[in-house]
Amino acid sequence: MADVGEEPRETGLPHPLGEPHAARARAEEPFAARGHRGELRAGIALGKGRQHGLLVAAAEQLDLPGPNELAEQVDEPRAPTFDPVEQGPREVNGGLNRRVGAEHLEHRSVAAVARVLEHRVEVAEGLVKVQGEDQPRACHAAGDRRRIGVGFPDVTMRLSAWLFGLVLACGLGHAASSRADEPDRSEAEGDGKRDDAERTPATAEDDEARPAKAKRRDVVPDASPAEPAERSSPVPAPPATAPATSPVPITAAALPPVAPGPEHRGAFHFGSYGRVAIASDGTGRPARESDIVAYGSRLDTTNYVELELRREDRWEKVGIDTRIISTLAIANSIFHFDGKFDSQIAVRNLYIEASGVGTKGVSVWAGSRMYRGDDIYLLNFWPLDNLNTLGAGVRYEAPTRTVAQVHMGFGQPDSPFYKQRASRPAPLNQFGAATIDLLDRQRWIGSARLEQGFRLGDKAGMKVVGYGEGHRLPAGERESAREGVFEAVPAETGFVVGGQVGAWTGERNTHLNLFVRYASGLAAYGEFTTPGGLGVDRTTSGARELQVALGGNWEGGPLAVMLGGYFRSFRNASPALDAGDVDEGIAIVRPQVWFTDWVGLGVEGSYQVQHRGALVTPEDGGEPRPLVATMPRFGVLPFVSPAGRGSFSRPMIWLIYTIGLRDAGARALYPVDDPYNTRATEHFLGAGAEWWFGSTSYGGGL
Amino acid sequence: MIGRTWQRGARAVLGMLGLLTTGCMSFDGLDEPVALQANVADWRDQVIYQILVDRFANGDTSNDFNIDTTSQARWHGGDWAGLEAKLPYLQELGVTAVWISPVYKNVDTDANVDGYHGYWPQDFTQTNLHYGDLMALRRMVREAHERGIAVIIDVVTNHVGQLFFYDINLNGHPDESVRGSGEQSDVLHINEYDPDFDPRGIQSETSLGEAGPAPIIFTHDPASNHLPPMPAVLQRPEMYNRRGRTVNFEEPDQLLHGDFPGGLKDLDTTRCEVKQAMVESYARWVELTDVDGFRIDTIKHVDREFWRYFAQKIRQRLARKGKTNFFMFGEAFDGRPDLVGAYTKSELPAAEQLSRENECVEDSLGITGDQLDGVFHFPQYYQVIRDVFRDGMSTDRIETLWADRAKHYGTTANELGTGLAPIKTLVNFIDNHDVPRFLFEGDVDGLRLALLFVMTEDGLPCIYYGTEQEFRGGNDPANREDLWLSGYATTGSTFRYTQALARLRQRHAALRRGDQKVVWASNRTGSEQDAGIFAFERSGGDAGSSYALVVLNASGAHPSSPVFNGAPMKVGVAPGTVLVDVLGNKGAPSGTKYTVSGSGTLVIELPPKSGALLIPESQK
Repeated sequence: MADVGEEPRETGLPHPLGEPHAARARAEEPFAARGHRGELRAGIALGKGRQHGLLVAAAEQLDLPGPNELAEQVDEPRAPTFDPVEQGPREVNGGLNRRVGAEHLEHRSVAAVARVLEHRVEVAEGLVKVQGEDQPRACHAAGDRRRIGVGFPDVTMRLSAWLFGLVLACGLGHAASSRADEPDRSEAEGDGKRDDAERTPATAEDDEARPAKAKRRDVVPDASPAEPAERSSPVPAPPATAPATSPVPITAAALPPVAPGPEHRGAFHFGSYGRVAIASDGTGRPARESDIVAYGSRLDTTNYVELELRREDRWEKVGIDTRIISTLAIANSIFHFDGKFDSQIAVRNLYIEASGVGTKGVSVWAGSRMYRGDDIYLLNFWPLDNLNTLGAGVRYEAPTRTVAQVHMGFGQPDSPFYKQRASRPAPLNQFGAATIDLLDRQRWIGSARLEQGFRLGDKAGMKVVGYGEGHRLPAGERESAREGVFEAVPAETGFVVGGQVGAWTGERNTHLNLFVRYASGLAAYGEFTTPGGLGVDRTTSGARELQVALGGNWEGGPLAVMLGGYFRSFRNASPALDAGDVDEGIAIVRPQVWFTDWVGLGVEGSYQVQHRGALVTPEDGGEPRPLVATMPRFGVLPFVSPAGRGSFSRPMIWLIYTIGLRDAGARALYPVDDPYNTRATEHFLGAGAEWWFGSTSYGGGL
Repeated sequence: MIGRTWQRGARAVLGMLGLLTTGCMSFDGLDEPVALQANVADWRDQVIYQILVDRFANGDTSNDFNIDTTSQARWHGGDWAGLEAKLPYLQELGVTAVWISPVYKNVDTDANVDGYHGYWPQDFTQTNLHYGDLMALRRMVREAHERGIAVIIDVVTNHVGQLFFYDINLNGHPDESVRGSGEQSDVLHINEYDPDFDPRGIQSETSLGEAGPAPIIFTHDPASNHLPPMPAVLQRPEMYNRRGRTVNFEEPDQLLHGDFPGGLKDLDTTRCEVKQAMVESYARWVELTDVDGFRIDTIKHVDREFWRYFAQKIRQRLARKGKTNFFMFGEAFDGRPDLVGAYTKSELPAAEQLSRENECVEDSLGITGDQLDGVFHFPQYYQVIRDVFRDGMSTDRIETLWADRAKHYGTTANELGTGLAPIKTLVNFIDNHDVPRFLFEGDVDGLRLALLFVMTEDGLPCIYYGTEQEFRGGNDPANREDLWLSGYATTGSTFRYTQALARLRQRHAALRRGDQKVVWASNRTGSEQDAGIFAFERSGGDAGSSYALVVLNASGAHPSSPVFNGAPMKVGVAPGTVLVDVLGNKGAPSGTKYTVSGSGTLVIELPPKSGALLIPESQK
């Protein structure tokens, strides 16, 4: 039977069946003991991952929530605050752009109720309001889009659009001039927060480990209307206040005034985040994710979709608003590619939140949820707080732009590190055998977050966040390889401390965030990871991880530039430097230009580096040297964004071409005979799409 | 303000890029090329301690892959990190050199038995990750050197692991089949992994008869590391003898060319490619780690020409890089001193043979007669340790054995070797991983007598790990216990006895470098006064004026004295010299004095199974 600490551990080095980097949970571990007795799960998962045709990646690349999943949108009223009679500034950092919370909530509630009332027939008939059908307009109709404000002649843009249309082979069809100007949808949260429940699991075990994408919040209309919005079809005018994205509880004050009526009002909502892609490496093989760091470019991430069904109610008698959120996530495989009905499904959200409990500004929740802060979109990375938790929490938002929240939850990854089952004779002299849990311990995680916002001028703002976590795993006992011989399993503890400073201009989605996070002990490993590289005392004591990350976005006119980067240093609990210890990082930038309101071109450049605590013999047979792997990548992505301009405008359909240059160290991360081991240049040519709407995880909750 | 924000952001990005490029990982110099040097001044001064790495100390749980400490034939988790952590234990014991398990990658497991011992090579170019990576090995060696402990690595040149099968039935699948009913036809058991020896080479056969040499097929199972060997030259079938398993070790062809039992495939060590590959592989390990010697496995199963080539080319290559005084000694598991000693003599082969051997030489240095610097004194193990100290047989066999050493072992130092004749660097041992521990059938008194013997006689003592903890395991794998079960206790009587012997050896040059002379041996084992007595002097040689007299009573029946027919033992020191027993025994405490008579004799009586180490009082 497995011994504690000897379970298959995901190695950050290329798994024979998967990709070299995984989320944090994998990156730290030495070569996975895949051959460990009876432990085939990870191998199977990875094998399945490799069979995925579209974007082949290891199972850990499944975009499952990892340590850095999407922002905890659900907690923050994201709706911009603006006067009902004029367009307010876009919500760059929704939480802090709000005015007094109550006002914001009122506006938001108005919007919500307005839609409910507007579509009550549909709701009554169909029960579910498919928000996405009208959300873009509902959320942003009141707003207007800022046209290109940098002096480009209109004729030049039209000519460019026609030329681009000729180049594109996908038959764009209608002339650009017939498209309505849509308000910019990008959520100016200052963090590019997107509730991206997609996951790229770090480890084969850690199917939930990958950070989700940032939440996309519904974009707040511009403060300065430039042109009247054109719509392809008339829709009810939304309230002047764009509804907050997911986390804002509904309050009575936010609902439109109605005649005294039922003590209870409610509505169903539907939202989604998704991405799908198909690509080739130019040699006939499906393209694979080729990043060598844990959080690399997301241009080649795997297919993923979240389907959210949400019920929101207002309980007049007690003055409490509730919402029930359920989110199903579906990852590879895609039936139309491999003919198999075997997509992986997970429940990403399943919780209830009640707002206005006791006093205004206080909300409580319980259930299973993605519980996270701000992300770096380009990297699919939540650097500070990103938990996938089954627990409960409390949040308080003060009128002073102070938000405090605490939570606690439990988890039990599917690993012998947490659970050991054994067979015993059935009781009472019965036939057969019974299965018992000898070791059965769950990991407690508690978190606290304190955020303070500051307004800078009319639109701009900044926030400072302090964050911490505590982790604990109780001691236990497990049976050794010999039945009846037991051994003690020590308790584990860990903590996280970190902070964030964010700033935004209030103009579109221009923002910048700086994150710092330090984790120690058990917390240094991913929440779903089986810790490896244990210390001599067979505990995680001594493991540590430091992350410094930067993410931001600038938009002006037809241009947008997204940037991101991080440095991560992980040391496992084993005292000596070894292959499980890693320093890595990436710098990435993606400028984009919109030739028209709905078509544009992006390019992306990144440089990623990984150092391992291991020596490798170079190809020329010389002296062994520390493993240093580098890979610059460059990509081009022409796109169509029907929702208009903006880094976070979705839906978006694109073509992608990237070229990566893998040096000897990067090639050494892969097994012999793996194409990534033999070739230095990697091409990725494909097409894909991404969307989000109406999701509490991805902006635009209402 | 926004502009400043962006400037700060850009600086942060650039700073991170800088960190990305340079990293902040400290390798503590372990990533630097190793500087080779001679870490041992004189191998006669060393006390060797044999370590099975998997069973010595577990210092890194991250490499505890597939361990099962409840089964002796499985991986237990010991590693170089653990060894490094326990170097103070070895220092306290008095060890000055460690001989460790092979460092390269093995077949991980075969037929439910693990390659924990290291004698199933698969990849000669990579470390055995169960023990650690290259940095862990370098770190351990460096730490050992800083503590004045030399490191000797075990090497295998005779065979590789169970890496291929003989496709006898030409179906491309490894089969184990049984033919015949045993009634009307003989039962014939054919095992394609390990068929019996055939001097022609293993033949394929079908129901119609033989079909020529059976092709060999390398297996490919990464999970158990049954993979084609590395370096790649060893993946060519002609590098192997392919004659099947040795069934008669007395038959020379089988001895040299048969597969070792257990399916270990025999290399054709007459081929230049094999010689060169072995030199390249093992010299490389020295260059990567600065280890100080080789213990060579199964030397009697390898052609002599290989040893001439291997030993000479290793010395030449290492000497060019600053590594001198590199000690290579081999294991010939045999009680015949002429056979064992043959690998230490410098004897040129016949001209035709020499010419053929020189075809493998790629530099200008032709082959000479030099071979190994030493061998395990297996004849002594059988005739002395087993027969005398364990079983109480007469001690005159020791004298005979020693007297014949000059006949059988090399008496001239090898060029670029240790500077010592192999006869002076025989490796004396009590037990090892291939034989039952002494205490399996012997007693503690006999063990201590054996320890006194090997620690004071001419040659290098080699202590098998766990001896100091009175481990009692029988044959393999029972004799490969986990040392951590002892708690590394340093207060036990045998630990302290061994420690005392090591210190005395270091203190008295006679015990390390003195010539050796037997002053009493007896063919009597009954009630005679000198039954079981054996005494020898160490003096002269390179020991200066240092002198030591060792007196042993191997009789388990009664006290004995080196006296026969009234004639006591004559010793080599001057009359009137006061000799002090620096060890003590059951009959007399440490410090007991004995005075050499005017006639140059010494009278001493020893309890059963005890000994005395007498040093001149002026040198104590």
